[in-house]
Amino acid sequence: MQENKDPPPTKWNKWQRKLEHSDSPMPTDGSPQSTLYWFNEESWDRFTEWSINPTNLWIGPTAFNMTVATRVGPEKCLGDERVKNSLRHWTPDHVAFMPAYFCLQIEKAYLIFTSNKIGYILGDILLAYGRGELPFHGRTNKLWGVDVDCLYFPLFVGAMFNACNHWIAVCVNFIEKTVEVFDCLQGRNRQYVEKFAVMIPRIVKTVAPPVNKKYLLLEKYSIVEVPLKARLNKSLCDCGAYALKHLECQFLGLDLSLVDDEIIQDCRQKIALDIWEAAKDLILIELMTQY
Amino acid sequence: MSATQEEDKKPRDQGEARIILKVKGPDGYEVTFRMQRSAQLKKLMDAFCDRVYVDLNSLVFLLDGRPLLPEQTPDELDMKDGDEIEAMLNLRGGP
Repeated sequence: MQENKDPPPTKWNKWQRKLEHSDSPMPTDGSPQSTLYWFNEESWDRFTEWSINPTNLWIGPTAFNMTVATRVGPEKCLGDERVKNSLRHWTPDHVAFMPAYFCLQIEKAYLIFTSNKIGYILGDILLAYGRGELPFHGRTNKLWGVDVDCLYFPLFVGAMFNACNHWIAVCVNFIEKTVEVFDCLQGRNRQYVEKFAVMIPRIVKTVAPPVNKKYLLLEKYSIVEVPLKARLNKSLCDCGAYALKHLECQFLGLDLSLVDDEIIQDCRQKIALDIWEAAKDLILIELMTQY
Repeated sequence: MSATQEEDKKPRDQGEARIILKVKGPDGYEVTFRMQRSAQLKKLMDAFCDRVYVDLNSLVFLLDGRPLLPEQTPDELDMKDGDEIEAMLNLRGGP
């Protein structure tokens, strides 16, 4: 394994990019933008105290440790089910968050589907997602298209697709029948989200109650490349943090242009803090033991 | 958590030592495999990926934090009955 050479969180304030890019202080006045990155000093102090003598904290099957804490951002931990955990305090209703693992399973299912469209039968795993039974530690038992209107997940468009490694955010809207793509680099992602546009209507129809089934079509959802602010992610290293924050804006109804390079490092720290706090949340710990 | 026993359907080789290994997926799903000690781990990795419906290239398999190679065998790695292999997502983005 590669040795981690990132500085410890106690020194994070030294690499906050806001100090390099802007002379003006960051607003902490409860403005919509500040809600994306602001956290109180007490929480941060407790977090840095933990970092001096870190112990593994568990969120379902995954551990939050120093390796994860110092790498929060464009790493697998960010694209994982932690999205759901970091957003849980908004008590989402009619929405669902999927892990990156789900995208891999859809990818594989789509390959099988394209080789035999007529005889294809959806696997139990995908149907379990549609019924809200998966992921195990985020079980909601809510039906897609009935109890859930929007599906949010980060999508990795990387080596397996013979492209550069990159995270984007995706929102599937069951009402509008759209797959919305949020890419900080504004690339062409149609080829990567096609599988969701094709497979998800099939899952929705299969898991729907009999009374709804006859109204549902297997027609492919429309793909929408959502326009974002120009020239984001100049460092080319913050796509993961951007993907999360774009989902957050979409979910909270905030303007997507609020996320930019000026605040992204602070956003990254807030994500780390959110995950750390979630891992210590007694209610969440109790919930996790049930799965 | 459901654990499943993966039985080898082929006729058993009387003289071949076997080992029982557990593989734990990124979502906590566990599958137990019984395989020959001299067989390559690729067989186990392929079977796990088929079970959880993902591509082999998108996972990395770790034993005590060390990545495993498909061509390695339990004998080479001195693995013991009941050893747990972790399957992690191999997704790193940014640049």
